Amino acid sequence: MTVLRMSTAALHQQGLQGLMQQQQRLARVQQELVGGVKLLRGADDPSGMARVQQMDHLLASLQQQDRNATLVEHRLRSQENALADVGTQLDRARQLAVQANSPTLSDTDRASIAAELRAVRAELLAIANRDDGNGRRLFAGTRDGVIPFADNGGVVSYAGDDGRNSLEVSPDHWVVDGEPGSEVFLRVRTGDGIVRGSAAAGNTGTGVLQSSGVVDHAAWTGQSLRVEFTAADAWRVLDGDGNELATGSYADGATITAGGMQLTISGTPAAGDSFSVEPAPVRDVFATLQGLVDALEAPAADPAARAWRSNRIGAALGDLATAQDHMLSLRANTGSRLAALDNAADARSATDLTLQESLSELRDVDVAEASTRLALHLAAIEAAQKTMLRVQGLSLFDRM
Amino acid sequence: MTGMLGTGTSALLAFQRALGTVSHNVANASTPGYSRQRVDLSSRPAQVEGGHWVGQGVNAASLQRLADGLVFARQIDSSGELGRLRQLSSLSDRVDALFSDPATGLSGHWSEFFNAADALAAEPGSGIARSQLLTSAEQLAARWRTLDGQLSALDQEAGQRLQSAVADANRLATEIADLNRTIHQAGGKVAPDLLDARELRITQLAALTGATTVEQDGMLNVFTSGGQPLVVGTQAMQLATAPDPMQAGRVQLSLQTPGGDVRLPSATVSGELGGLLEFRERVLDPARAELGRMATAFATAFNDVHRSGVDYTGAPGGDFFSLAPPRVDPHAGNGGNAGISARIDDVGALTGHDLVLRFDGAWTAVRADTGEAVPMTGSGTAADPFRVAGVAFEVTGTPAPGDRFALRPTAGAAASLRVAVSDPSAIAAAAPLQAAADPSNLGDARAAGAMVTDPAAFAGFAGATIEFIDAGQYTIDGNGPFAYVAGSPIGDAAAGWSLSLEGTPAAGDRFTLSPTPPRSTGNGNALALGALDRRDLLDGGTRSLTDGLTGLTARAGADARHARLSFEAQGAIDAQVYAERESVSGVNLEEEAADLLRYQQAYQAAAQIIATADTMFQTLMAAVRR
Repeated sequence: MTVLRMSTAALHQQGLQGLMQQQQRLARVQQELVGGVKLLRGADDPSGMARVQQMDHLLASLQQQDRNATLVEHRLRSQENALADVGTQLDRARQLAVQANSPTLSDTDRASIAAELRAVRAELLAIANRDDGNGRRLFAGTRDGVIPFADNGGVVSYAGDDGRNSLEVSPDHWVVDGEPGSEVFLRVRTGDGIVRGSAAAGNTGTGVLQSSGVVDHAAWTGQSLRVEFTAADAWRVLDGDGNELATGSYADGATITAGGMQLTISGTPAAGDSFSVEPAPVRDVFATLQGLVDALEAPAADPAARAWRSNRIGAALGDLATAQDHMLSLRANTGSRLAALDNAADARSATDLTLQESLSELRDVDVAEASTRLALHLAAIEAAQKTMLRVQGLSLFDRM
Repeated sequence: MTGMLGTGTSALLAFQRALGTVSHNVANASTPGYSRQRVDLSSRPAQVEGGHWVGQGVNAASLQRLADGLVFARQIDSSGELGRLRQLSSLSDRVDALFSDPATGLSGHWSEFFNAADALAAEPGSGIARSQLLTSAEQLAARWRTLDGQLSALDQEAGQRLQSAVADANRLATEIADLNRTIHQAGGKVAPDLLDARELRITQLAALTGATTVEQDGMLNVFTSGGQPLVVGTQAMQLATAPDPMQAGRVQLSLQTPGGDVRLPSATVSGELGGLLEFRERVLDPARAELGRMATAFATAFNDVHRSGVDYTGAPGGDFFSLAPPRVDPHAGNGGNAGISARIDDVGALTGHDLVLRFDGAWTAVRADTGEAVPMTGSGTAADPFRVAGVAFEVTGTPAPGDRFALRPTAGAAASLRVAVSDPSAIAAAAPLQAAADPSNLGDARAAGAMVTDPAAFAGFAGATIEFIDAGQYTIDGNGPFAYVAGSPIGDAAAGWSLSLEGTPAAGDRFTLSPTPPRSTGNGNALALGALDRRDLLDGGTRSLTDGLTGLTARAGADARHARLSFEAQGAIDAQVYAERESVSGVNLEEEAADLLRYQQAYQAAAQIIATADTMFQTLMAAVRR
């Protein structure tokens, strides 16, 4: 480089410029160190700043997912508790039904059992109307602001709906926040879950259906069957269309097998009595309990009426057992959703960590590096100051 | 002896002159624009005395001003660029700060708003969650308005700076013209300080407008960097600001010439004025238009989704945000009485560029900044309006040929963004359609999702019942049967809905579809609202809104960075030019001190010559007295 002739003003300007430049750098390092952030403006790294904002947005949505997951978890736990309570009540109902099935009980005993069953039913209704502590009903589907179940003279109506809300609890990971009450309490399968056997209402004999079920799924067409006693000791089995499938003779405790189905009947049926087995319908659990109560409270003066009662209690026992299974499988569902929430929490924290790391790399100041720069700039500014003083102090005029 | 006296006197006079010049240099060592001066000494021609040449002393031949015309040309060039980039950089920095500082940018409120929408999806029935969404929507809209307001304030500030810079430039041009006259009248005997004064003013003018100079008869003609004359000889042209005919409330730069006012576009001027114009055109206008585009896309998409939902009272959702339509300003000189009403037609096709619509028998559209043609479709009728870059417009009245309109699809849209919903229960969080399985269904199928596929067709929906004849066939309201394939949705395209099932239906199973009733806490629509930040809505459905907003930050940052780097580079160039000028014209005090010593000694010596001549004369007189 050609050495130019320096003017005094240029010399001064050069020193001043250097000093100011060092000051600017020093101020920058100071700002970085004080704030802990090196990316202060978009101009420092435009695309980096855009990425920082995107990651901030993602982090914020992760935090929201975290809050949502807490809500869902609370709701699912409340449901799980409620379902456990439902299970306890159904257990109790089943015990009572078994008790009530004893022929030695007096009418008073049965009346008190019926009263207790009413209490169980009322308790179930209360559970079904429970809220999650925040005023949101647990079993109203997507109408959780209304009280879903109402008892109108033994018939329970449902004001909720079938909706399920799902929520994103970690990126692209969705969890359903519960089961609607219609699914939990209304659409409950009866019988053994596949078929349900029952005695015809007008039976005059004392035949009691002890058990019924499908033994050969291949042979069962899915239709209902009817066992009809043509005489006190003879039966025939008809399918849903009235075709005769089998006939046989009856003895107390006989097992009748036809069309893949097996029934055991005891007692003494009269000619014309019939028993039927149909694909298990769904019925609400309150109606099942109500039916049991009604059976227990019905006067039973003659053996036929007692047999009718036994049949009703026996059917109700099966219904209750299936309802318990139903509640258990719902609990298992809820449990697996809670497990999914745990997984989502892991996924969230992993994503969060990755994002925080990238964000920190882009935005946060490396203290060691910045401190080194600070020391460097401090030394430089000192040098600039000293140089300026020395250079400015030199003047030929001083020597004259 | 008389020769010696004469010689001594000439030396005294010459060194006095030289010492005077040195002190003038020293006195002006810190004067801006000062060029150092030097006295050129030359010996007087010798005379023949007695057959010998005898020297006659010294003359201060001339006063030289040390300056370099080429360095000066580079200096005004650099000064113009530096002025331009200083403005561009400092103003761009402020735009960048607005977008990237979390305290003023959109990003914080943007995240909060979508978090509130997600929280609403978690608790659709909660009044708190609903109010929270409204509050954060208000804050987001307010932030959008504030940002636009601050950009608009920057625009006004740029206008004011433009006006004050024009006043300064006019004063300088007048002074230069006056100096030109004085220098011209002085002819060859012009004082160097006058030249310095003129150069200083030209440098200052260049910092405002950018300049090139051409010398003519000792006068300097000054032109803008685009070649427009500012000073011609003794005549100064006046710059002026005039209202922009295409945009009320904005001023543009023009030059008053004898032939009328000439508009100066940003490309024809440099310096501070050029920087201001360039900032407005290249940084501010695109940033405002882009900010408005984001606001438009966001509000339009959010409204669309919100309208497709059902609120807590069971009513269909209304507009969540309100937004002004695209702005159309007629040119002030339009001859016809045509008016244009425009609306947003396709959010994905919006570009963020301002357009000029021109009528020449037919309508054409060009970009306001580049003049590039923009394709336009439609016939201009109500049924088939003109469509250009995502905007549909209709013309009323009769345009005259040559009429122009400025169409700003999104500029300023952000300023009009407001929340239209005030009642928390009017937030449409639920999907409009719900499905229910009949309680007596024997199959284990359940409704997994009911969706509206065509909002227009769905509008009159009153309900539908789906009944399965067997696991593979169903009827809709008794019509059919239709084949059912497990996993694929059941739909009625004409009625605009579809239903998907989980599990296997049995014969006789029924599902009823109904419009969502009041008090629903379904979150179907809230989820769609909360996912809008990730949906690709911009640029023909290729970029999400979050991408768009962060892109806006990146763009403002890149503009600022570019301007800053250019400014720093120009600063280095300017320092180099300054050093060169100083090396030629700057005063070095050491040098002057040395000269002072030199001339002082010479002066003393010259005085000694006169003293010696006197002594010689006295000696002679003493000799002849006897």
